[in-house]
Amino acid sequence: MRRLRPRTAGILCACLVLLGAGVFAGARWAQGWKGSVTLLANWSGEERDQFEENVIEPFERKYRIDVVYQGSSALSQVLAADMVAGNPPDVAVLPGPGELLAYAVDGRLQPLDGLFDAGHYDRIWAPEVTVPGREGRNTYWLPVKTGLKSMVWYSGERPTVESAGDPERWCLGMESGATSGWPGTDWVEDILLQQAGPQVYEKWANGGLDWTHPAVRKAWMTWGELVGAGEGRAVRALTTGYGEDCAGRRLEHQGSFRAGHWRAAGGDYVHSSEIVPDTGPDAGAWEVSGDLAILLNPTEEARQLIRYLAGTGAALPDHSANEAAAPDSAQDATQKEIGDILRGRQKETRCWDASDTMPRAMRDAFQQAVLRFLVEPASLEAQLKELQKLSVEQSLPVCSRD
Amino acid sequence: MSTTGRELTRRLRLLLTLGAATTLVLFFAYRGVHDDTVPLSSSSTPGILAVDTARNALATAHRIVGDSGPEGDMSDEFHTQVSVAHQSLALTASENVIGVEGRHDLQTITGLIAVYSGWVERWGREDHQALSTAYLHYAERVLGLESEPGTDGDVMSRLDALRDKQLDVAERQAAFPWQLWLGWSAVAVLYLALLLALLDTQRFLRRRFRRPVQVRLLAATAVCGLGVPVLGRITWTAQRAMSGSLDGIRVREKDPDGIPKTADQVQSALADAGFWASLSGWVLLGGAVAMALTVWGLWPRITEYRWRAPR
Repeated sequence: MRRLRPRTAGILCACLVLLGAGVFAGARWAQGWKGSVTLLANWSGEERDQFEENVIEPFERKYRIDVVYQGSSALSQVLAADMVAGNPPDVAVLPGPGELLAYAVDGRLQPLDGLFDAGHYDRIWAPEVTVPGREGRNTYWLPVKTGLKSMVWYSGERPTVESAGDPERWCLGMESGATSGWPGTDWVEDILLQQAGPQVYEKWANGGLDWTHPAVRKAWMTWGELVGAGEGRAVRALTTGYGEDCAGRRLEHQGSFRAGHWRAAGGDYVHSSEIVPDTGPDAGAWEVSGDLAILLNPTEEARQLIRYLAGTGAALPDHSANEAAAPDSAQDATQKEIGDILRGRQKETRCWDASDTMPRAMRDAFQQAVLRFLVEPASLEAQLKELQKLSVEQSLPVCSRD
Repeated sequence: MSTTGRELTRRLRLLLTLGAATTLVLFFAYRGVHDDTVPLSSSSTPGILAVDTARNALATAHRIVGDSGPEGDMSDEFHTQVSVAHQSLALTASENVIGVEGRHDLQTITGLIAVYSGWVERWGREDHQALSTAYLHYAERVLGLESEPGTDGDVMSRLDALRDKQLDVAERQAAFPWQLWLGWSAVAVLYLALLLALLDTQRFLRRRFRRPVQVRLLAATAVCGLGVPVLGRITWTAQRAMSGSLDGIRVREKDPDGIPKTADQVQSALADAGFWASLSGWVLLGGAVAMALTVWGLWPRITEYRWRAPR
């Protein structure tokens, strides 16, 4: 057997080293990111952790796309500033279509048509919208997380119109940082929905019904009577956080996000139509809310993220509006029921939280108005006139047609 | 070739190998420390101090609001302090050392400051006592002067989180990890070996050629013998300055007057950081000069002993 010559051995070693380096570089390349996408949303704390763990990390692992998440509690302000500065995130998740419609009209949003099947969502969740300067109708947002409202949480005896009439029974908190006042707008909207029905509600939400209309005024007055507007406890509600502890024999008008709190206290919920006085024949519709994903920079990575969020495999936070998604088997009976209502499986009418469908300025003024009404109910007429001045007519699908 | 010729060639190869290895290892070890001195002094530290300035300015602004009462005129000084906060955040943005995430944090903080200012302005305009109390309460909640640890929805906790991230970067820059220990240990070993080899070669030449000293080889010895300790000393000084600067900014400066003092201390401690960092290029040049002197010193002797094949 011939001995290996030193030169041959050297060449062989060099080849082996090069091969090793190639394999190493290839492995590093395969493990590295193939792009990135910036995502702006308002989830923070535990909610953010869960979203990152259940949605972002699986997406990153599957597509090797780095998601740079920005959780902001001043979402509207940050996004508005980003837009003006020409430096928006690739994808943003905002609550409510009102603000998004304004961005779509300004040509800031990219259509999502072709990225997911809008047929899997009710028209209120992912509507086709006409925007000046763009041909045809396009879908501009995708629901990522939805919530049910029109709920009155209680523990103990099931509340009725009569037993709920005592203002002392109600837990009421208006404080919520930048958006303080929204729990009050939810109240007024829901009462209007139960008293006047979905058609009047949709017309009002779209700016087609005056704020000074008797039905709207009646909703405000009903709320004032229920919670004792002008009284000391209503004044205290201004500085009470919306998520503060509420249990015992008390009642709380809050959305499905409070299910955990009330279930832990052995509580349950009734539809708000069961406690709102003077409900109309169309009472029983559910007010709903949702966080909607929009595409601002149409990069391939951002499109991929939208496709992923719309897919049935994404473990989205409670509750998905995707009718094709299988129900979460880990949910308890209450959560399943809420999910079914949100996906339209119970064939009940669902209407968007009206303030979320209004333009931003209108929504902010509405929130301010409920704060003032709580401590100064006599100012209602003047406030309704002021709100009417800001009203703008638009055409968004607010209620489902089941 | 004679034994002397082979010995000279062997020594030349050894010296060149040691010289090249020392130069390269010294170059990377030196860069390992000094590449971070300039970013630490010109970006990380000013960024952290700017966040502290913004925090103090906002706390002062809110103190002005509290002191003035609803009927007091607080607008000028309040707006001045909010403006200071915005300018400081702009400086933080320009010195952003934590990339996209940091930029997003700053955008959120700026948005929250706008919300805070909005509530304060409403408070200033409101005549109804209960509403003005509520607006001030909302402003305080958004500002988060008394927020609990772990919250992230207010200005102060966001600023604290941003500062923590910046400090992590500064600590990485000022660190002397095991890789640098290994590098500088290798420099020390190679330096001693090279110096001993040069001195031994000098001794060999003196004995063999009866010349008191080989000047070119002596010059190469001087370049190595002085250059490496000088660079080591500079590195040690820089590392101490970085550690000292980090100690100065590790704890948040609560006294607004203390921030310029800390900035001055850091500035003076790392005033020569740019010069120190620029010397890394001279490491390669110095190494090349030392090796050239070595070749220049030994090559004429080697050629004298070179075996020539018959024609």
